[in-house]
Amino acid sequence: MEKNTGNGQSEDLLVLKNVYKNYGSVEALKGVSLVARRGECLVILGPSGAGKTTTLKVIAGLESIKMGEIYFQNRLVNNLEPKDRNVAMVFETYALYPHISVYDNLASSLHALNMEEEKVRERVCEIATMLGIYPFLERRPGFLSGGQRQRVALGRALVKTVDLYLMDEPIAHLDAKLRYQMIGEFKHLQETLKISIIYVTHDWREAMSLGNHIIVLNQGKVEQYGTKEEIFRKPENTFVAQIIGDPPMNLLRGHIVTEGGKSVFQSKNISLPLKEKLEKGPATLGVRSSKIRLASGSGNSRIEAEVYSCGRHGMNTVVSIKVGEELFKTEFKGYQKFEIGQKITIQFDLTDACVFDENNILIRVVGE
Amino acid sequence: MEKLILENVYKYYGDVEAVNDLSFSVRDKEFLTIVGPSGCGKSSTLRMIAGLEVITRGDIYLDDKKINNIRARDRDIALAFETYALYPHLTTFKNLAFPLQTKKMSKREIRERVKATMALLHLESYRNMKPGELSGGQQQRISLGRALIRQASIYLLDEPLSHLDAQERVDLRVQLQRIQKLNELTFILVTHDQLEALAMSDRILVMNEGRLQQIGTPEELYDNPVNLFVADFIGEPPMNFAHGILVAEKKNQLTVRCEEKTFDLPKSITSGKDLSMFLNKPIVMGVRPEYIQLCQKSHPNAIQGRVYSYEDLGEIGYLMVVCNSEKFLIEIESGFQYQMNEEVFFYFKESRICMFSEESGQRIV
Repeated sequence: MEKNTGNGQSEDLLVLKNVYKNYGSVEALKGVSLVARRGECLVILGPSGAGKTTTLKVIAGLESIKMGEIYFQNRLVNNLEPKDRNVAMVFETYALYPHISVYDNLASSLHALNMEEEKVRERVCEIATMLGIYPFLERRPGFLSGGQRQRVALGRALVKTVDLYLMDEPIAHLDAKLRYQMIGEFKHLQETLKISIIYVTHDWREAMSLGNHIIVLNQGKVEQYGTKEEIFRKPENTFVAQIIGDPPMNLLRGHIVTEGGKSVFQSKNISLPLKEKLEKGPATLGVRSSKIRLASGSGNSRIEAEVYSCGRHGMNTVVSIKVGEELFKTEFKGYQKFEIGQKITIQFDLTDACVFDENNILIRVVGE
Repeated sequence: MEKLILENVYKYYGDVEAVNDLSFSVRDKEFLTIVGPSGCGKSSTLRMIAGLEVITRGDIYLDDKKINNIRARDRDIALAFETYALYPHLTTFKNLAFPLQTKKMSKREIRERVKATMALLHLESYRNMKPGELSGGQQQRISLGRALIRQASIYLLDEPLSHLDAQERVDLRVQLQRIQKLNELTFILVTHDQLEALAMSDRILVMNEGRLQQIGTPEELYDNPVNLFVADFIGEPPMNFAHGILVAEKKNQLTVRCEEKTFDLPKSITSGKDLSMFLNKPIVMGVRPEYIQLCQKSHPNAIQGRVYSYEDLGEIGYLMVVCNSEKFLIEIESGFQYQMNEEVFFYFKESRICMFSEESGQRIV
């Protein structure tokens, strides 16, 4: 993946060190640290109230901080005015001027910089062509579709040449189909222009699609910061494990025990031998839905289960299954018909399964 | 057995046509979902079945009895709507018990049924709270519970999960399906969310602009959409479309010309079909992202494109390629390595190509 960022130099563009932010007595950020690299897209992922937008505003200089340090290109900027930070923002709402043309919407942010008219025209046309909004330059925003308006909003930020673009849920309100298209366009643009972006979203799919690095925020704290591969394969805790994926990772509560010198994960109804030797004690096993399969042949660790519900997801079949009182979600390839209450035999493929300790902290990824 | 039949039903609001010549039937113990964009007539249809709207023209039969002129409350129908319509001065428990009290049921039986319903919909902790103290999602679950607690011939649910958060919605889809199947109830659910329809239903009815587009199982709609509207509406990520002209330039071979590229149609999809009326006319080829495969240049059906973007979701990835002026999304395994604008080759899985007339939007093969 790294090779595709195309930045060559992995210079740290922005560094947050232990940043705290309070709104009155409410702690919005509780020690947030992160690094944004030049030419990369860093995604801030988290549920509502996690502090995502606050982090963005703090970086832009729109909010002051209580404690901590913010560095732009190794320079401390805690007290620098927003206009001097050389960043551009895109918000979820388009914030376009409704009474002027698309061209003027794009040009206005350059006029504010006292740029020559000819250069403005050149830059606006260049960006509009790239975003596929060139044909609409003379129209007003009200005559455009949601997706087109979103591009204009993006264009308003992109016409400015800045060090860092800050984007707050820029495509969250587009309909699902348009989002697929916009994600592709967006990624193409970021990799072609090699611009640096910090992108806020609550949607794991957008995070995985766009992020080179992802930071998972929850209640003002960083749950994990890493490459997207690390976030997906080595979630540091159960919160991160469950925020990525649909259906989310299944979590089995139980214990690690030793049987005949080997470690076994045991929950109330399920016993799964592990390849590696792990310390005894309470544990949670995390298994992605794709790793629970219908048992074939007579292999080990066959588990009798009952179908709890069954539905379609594209050309896959999503089945909730019950083992004793434990419920799991699995996704089988293709169309398969299951009746509620039907008995089936399943197998767990524990490759890449995650073992968490009693505090929900990752101990081991199976097979690593 | 047919539980409910609509025959040539129309609904006008003044001059505005909301439902146009709608005919379909719902089988006993079936979970049917009506899906479509806003304004497609799905809610009007449900409201006519419920008796809340007058039928402009046509007939509706429930259990073989024409119900056109039967008042709403005399139809044996249970309803849950997007707006909750709960009694604000009653607790959750009493709101749920209310529909049973008019049925001369013993207090004990009422208590047991309310308890069971609260358990199903995870409402136990709100038992003694009034609607004003609850969130929209919680109120919506009570409203749903109030419909499900009744015994009725058919249950009509209009966007019953719309106010729930993502996780609750996924949980309740599972619960709804279980309630319907285990109690052998007949459900008609209305939603704008095609994922929800695919996840729960036995059959799905797609509506657009007041008209029925297609009715069938989730698999039928997904693999064999009858027109461009259904093809585009069902499925996420959406189906890819390529626009071209159908030509017969080679002997015994139909070809689709898309800008400067040509695509020979596999015999397996054209044989036995008379497509002469579509010759030299614009057509649209549709292929789902799962049914496009990367291949070598030497593959007989290889189509050349360039890498536009790639998103890796951990277990699968989506590759967007540009071919002519159109973009295609291809589902591939995760971990794909690429250079921007790199040349790639791909082909459409033969049996999975849908072809539509661009003029009529109808499927031709």
